[in-house]
Amino acid sequence: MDELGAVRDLLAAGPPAPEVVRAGRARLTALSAHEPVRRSRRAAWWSTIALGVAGAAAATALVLGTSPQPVSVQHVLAAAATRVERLPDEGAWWGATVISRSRGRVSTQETWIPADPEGKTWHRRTTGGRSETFSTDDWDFRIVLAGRPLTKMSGVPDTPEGLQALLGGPGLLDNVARLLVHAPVTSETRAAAYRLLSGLPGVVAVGEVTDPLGRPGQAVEYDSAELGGRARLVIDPATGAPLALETRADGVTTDYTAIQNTRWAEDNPLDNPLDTSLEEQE
Amino acid sequence: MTLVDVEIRHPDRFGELYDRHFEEIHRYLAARLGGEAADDLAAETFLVAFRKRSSFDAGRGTARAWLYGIATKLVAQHRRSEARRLRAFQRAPRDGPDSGHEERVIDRVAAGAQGRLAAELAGLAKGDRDVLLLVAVAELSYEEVAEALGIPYGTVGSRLNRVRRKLRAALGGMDG
Repeated sequence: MDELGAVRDLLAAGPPAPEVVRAGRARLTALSAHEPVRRSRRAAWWSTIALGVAGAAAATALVLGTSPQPVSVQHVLAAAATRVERLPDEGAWWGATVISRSRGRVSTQETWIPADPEGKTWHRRTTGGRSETFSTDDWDFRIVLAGRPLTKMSGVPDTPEGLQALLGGPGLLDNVARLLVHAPVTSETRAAAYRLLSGLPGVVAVGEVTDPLGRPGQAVEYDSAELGGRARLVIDPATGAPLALETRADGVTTDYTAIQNTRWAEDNPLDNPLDTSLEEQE
Repeated sequence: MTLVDVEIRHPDRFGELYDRHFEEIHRYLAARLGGEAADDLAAETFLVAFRKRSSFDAGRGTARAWLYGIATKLVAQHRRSEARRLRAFQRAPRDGPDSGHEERVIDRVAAGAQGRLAAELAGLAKGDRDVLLLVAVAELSYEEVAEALGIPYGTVGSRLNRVRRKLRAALGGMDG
């Protein structure tokens, strides 16, 4: 017997009992009954840059809102870069709370991503008063780029040129915007993303706007290759932090991801799960 | 987008994936964590897969490899259970039916080898153990292991070679 066969024999286990198979199937059916069908357009995100949970969503119509004020996009983004690079980015955990609307459904998602690449990501999703908390060490909630998870520790470039090399391609604008909004990158990387954005064709300044949560911000817009519509990135003029990424059609916002807050912290408040199904029972 | 993509992303079709692969995922998890944990985690594997079905990329691999990747990540969250299971193999031979003296001696010799094997498994780096068990127990191809674990193809081969050398040394007296 060879060593692989010996391992196989040592660990051999019998088949699951029929009631176990049925119970698992029932859990799956129960879960799928609660989930809306997601748009297949999300598929494209995986190959470029994706966040499994949050999302500005697709809109097919395309209309540019009107009356851009005489403010230069370079000015807006340079100011954002200068401010954002001063934001603190030290901590063991990166926490983000975002409110998103997709197909009329509004949900709140709180995510805690560890700086330690071996650590688990914690997540709480609340939709219509129903809340679910769970942890995973999988890439589901992390930004995924070119097929690999991207965390703060993965050595994301902190220059516009480096980011362009990493995120380049037809979806570059969308990739940069999602990096800004979703990724737990350093403030330096975020500043580089603004600087990269300011040099890209097709990005225009809109001027002062109000974001989906009613906060004032400076906005830039571009045609989103992946969404097939107009995307609007709203930036907090005081801190340079991104406030929201909106999908717009006919001059109104259809879907959005609004960042309620993000922060680096030493502790993860979600590490006290309501749903302990993934936790080992000692 | 391929047909497989559509199938997997569509909730109604997800049950078919379950029916095709539940038993083998259960067998893999039972081998690593024991039957009781497998009962729960095999189902959990499909729940996790369902939640992240939008990120499945058929261009990058098979659904089967993808499911084993998820199952392996669940195992990683239960490392202590796996360690306990392997320790148990080291303490006692697996119970067998009553047997004559001669057979008991053979059992004990085999149990010694079994204990050494279990100890060796317990001592492997996590990434090495994942590769080994995906090949030995799940019987995935190198390519599928690479997809499941998100590591380069060449890494699968080099890890497996290293592990096999260690296991051969641990088994020592056993016929190769």
